[in-house]
Amino acid sequence: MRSIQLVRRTRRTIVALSLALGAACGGGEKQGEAAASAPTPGVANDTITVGTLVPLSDAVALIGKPILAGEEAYFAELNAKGGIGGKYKVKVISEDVTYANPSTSVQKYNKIKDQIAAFAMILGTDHVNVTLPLMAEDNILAIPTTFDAEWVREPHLIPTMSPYQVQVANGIDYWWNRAGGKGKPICTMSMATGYGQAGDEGAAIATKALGTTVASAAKFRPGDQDFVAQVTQLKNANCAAVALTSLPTETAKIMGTAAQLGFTARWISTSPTWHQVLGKSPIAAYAKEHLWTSTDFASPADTATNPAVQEILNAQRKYTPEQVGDFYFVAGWAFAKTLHTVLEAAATSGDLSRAGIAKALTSLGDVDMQGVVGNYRYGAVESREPPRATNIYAIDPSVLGGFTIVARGYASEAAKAIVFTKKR
Amino acid sequence: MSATVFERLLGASGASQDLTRRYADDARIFPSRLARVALAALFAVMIAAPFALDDFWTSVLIMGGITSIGAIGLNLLSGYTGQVSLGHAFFLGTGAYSAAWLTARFDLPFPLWLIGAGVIGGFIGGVAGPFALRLRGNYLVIVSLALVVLGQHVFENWTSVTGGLTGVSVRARVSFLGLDFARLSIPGLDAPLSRNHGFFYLIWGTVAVLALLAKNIVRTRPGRAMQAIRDRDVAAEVIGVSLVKYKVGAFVVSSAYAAVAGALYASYARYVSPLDFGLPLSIQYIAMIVVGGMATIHGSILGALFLTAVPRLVEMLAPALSLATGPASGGGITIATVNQMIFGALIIAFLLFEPRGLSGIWLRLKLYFKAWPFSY
Amino acid sequence: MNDFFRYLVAGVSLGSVYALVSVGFVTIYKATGVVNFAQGGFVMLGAYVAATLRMTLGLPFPIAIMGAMVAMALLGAVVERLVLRPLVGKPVFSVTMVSLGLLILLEQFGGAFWGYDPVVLGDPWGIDTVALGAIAAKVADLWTIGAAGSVLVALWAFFTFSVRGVAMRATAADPEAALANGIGAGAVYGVAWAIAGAIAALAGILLASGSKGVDLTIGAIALRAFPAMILGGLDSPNGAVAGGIIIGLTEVLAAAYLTPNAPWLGNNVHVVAPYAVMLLVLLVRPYGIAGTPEIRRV
Repeated sequence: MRSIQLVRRTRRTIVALSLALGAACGGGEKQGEAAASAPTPGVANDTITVGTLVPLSDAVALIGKPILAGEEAYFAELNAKGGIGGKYKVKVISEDVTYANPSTSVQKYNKIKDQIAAFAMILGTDHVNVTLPLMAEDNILAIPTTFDAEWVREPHLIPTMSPYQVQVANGIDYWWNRAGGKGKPICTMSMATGYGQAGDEGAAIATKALGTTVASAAKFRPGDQDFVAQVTQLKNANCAAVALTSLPTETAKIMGTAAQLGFTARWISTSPTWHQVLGKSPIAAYAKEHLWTSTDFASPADTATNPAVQEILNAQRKYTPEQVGDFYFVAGWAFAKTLHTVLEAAATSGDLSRAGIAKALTSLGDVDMQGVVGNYRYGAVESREPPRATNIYAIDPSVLGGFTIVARGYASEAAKAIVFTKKR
Repeated sequence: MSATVFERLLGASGASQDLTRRYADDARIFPSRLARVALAALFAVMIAAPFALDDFWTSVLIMGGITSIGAIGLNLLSGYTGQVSLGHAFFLGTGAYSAAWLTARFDLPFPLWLIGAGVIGGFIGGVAGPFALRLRGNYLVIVSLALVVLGQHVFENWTSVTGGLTGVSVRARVSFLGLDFARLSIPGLDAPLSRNHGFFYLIWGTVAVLALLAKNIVRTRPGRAMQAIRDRDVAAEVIGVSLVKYKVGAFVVSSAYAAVAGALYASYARYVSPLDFGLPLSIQYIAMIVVGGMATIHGSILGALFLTAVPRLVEMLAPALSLATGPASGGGITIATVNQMIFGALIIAFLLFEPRGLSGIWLRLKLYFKAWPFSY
Repeated sequence: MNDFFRYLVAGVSLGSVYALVSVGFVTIYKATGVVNFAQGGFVMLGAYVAATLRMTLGLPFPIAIMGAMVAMALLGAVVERLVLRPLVGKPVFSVTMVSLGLLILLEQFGGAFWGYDPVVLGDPWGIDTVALGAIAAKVADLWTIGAAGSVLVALWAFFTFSVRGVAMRATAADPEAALANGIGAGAVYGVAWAIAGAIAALAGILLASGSKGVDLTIGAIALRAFPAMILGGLDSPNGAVAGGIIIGLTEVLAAAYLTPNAPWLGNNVHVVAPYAVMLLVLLVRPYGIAGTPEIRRV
């Protein structure tokens, strides 16, 4: 039996806390006003602040965290060397979003837009779609850490690496022409989101160029647990190759279901579909035999062939030792390097306002990524050119990153023929 | 003896609502002069607040206002009529998507799309209402859960109207009586007020109107009928309270309120997606009325404001509490986790220690000062 | 036809997991009158604890299962003592809300302690399949049906034959009379929550076995078990098992046959099919298949 004293005391504590909270509310005024009214938001005397919208606490954090760590390691190393223009240290602020819910990006965007000079990372095709109109209104640039073909002609985005459409088209083409897939049925299995649509478009482009069509198209939602229906659908259509546009948590379950149902096809996937942590699960053997990934990232296991990759791993050990230097870490490094190039150009021209950064982007030419990812040509929006060649990887759980090379720098005719337009 | 200001405020005899002779006086919302003065002061504070607060806190208060409307609706259903429902998120989503569709398809002006969303929401509430006649208690709670799940399914798959998982952006006009609230301009200031500033007035004006409406419902006959149903519905039916009319009516009014809140949210956030309207949102609203005070209108508003502000406060205090804000901080608890934990803990704490919620605390404060210095 | 039998096995397996979770719900409901929303939290934490015992500590799999069940039983009893006991006598709505708050807390605790990446469970059968006649059935499915079945039978035996079980039934039927016979309500409540916790842990482990892996979304299974529990009747363990199997079969068959043949119903109609079935049954029998109708006095 609780004593009446305890109840009274607890009630008083709750009252006091409520009042304190109310007072604290009032004390939070006038925050951020100074930053918004400055002509160069996000730029202080010796700091440039960049923002990131990244899932940190849901299933997609598996990808989000390493990318963010890669960016932070890059900027930490840059700061150690003096910063942008030898003067500005880069500060990264990150906001947690939920991948499956693009509204959270809108909320976080509104929260930090006045404190930053540009976005270093917005993860998720739908998340970018959602914040684009807001960025156009506020004239903020962003690096989308997703690879939809629609980003190529967007003036407020700094797209990087080869688009999903190119990835899938190259993968299917390679399988058709170089791996004995000619004439066999091609299918797709994709997420029912904007990301999935991009992968499907790539499959449509490839099949059209090869003179065939997609035999069967299966869809699923992020967070789905059960894939028996979709895999059975593909199995009944006798698919020999499936273009898979998925994320690691779902990929694991899809591979598992496929293994158990005895479905043996060539799975051709986009860059964020596999994660090396899955190499420890029971599906690793099946994936090793049946899964390819098509992307222009370098594998972190390529330290022998590519000294830049070794540099990246060194920085990882020094600045973010708790984060494994995996595939996505390398990608994060590349994103940060691209943003650095743009900001450096803006700093050199002396104009770090929003308009100045936008102008700097249009003045860049080719950005040399030292083989870590494909080189991108910027310049005027209509003449931007993404890399059209990708590497085809198979799964190898025993190496860092989990990938082993099958074909390097493959560019299919279909991918080379894609004309990128502004869709909206 | 010269009357002090205080005594004049309290009215001639120093009494407030405790000594009334007519029933109408008993039911008044602002019975004493002090209450009316406080109301005027509150009005002045609300007009001045956005000038003093920065954009971020104004937006927090705007979200608080929007959720207040939803919380009032839920309190009418669950607090006053006793029909505990986890389905509130579904009606919020209905309102949001109705607003998106009405403004995209017909480009209606502000009062029309708002009322239209409310009507659509109320109508769907009327369809769901009869379930409450057949089912009781725990069964009703879980059926309302089914409503949320089915609703999300519809939102995700009816892509022509809702845009599916990708969501839909909303461009709603917010002009009323010739004033465009998104771009209010005051003669004398050279730049128009920010969007948040205008929205603040719009939202809280709407809250005032709807709260008054709800208060009028509960302090008159329908309110008494609803509370009778909550307490003993069989006995209520025996004395002539029509269960059909009031149970279904409660659903209709509650979902109309939720739809209005959802529509306002859609116009403010300018983007909605199906995952905004899942079970966690319903739980948030129930928490708001539990923390704020069940069966009170001002409790709904207090609870909504409290639970909207707490996550923002946690974010502000995050560096001081050394919470993980990004992966390089070496893992650890993220802010989102802490927010959710506080949430769950608040629900439990209030139910264990102060079941009447914030409104109960407020009542205690008032009584303390009223009885001072004899407050023990 | 082969496909149909395979779906049958998968449906009964999923149904067994639902049956386990529902019986846990019903045990608590029968003993204390509370709908415990936090069951999903026990499911998730049970799976995580088993994964840690198996993978990090290297214990054999059966020991890991036992350990997880014991841990969750303890957690259930502790939660009952600390959080639910003070609420005895308060309106049922309050207690249900508290269990909702608990669910949130448990989920977040799981994420905070184990991180947000998926964790491998380490079950010995992985993605193996075995030939049952003409069809290849998942070994995981067979183990699920077997384990769930044995636990449910053991539970039935406990409630029917053991002294403590009969005491619990007595308290559920009439607490005052039971008290007059010397059966204290407190112990009964504690045991009910402990049993529910242990069953939930087993359900989580079985669910995560095979290729699924343990992640934060496992707790959501409990929400899908609600239709099973309502369908069977809130206070009937037999109804819970029947409801669980029905709902499991509904989900698998809907996914297999409705989605390809009726795409207009939507992408994942199998998630909502159980709820639709539940609504239909409730319209006909408002207290579920085997639930006792409430007698209301004015």
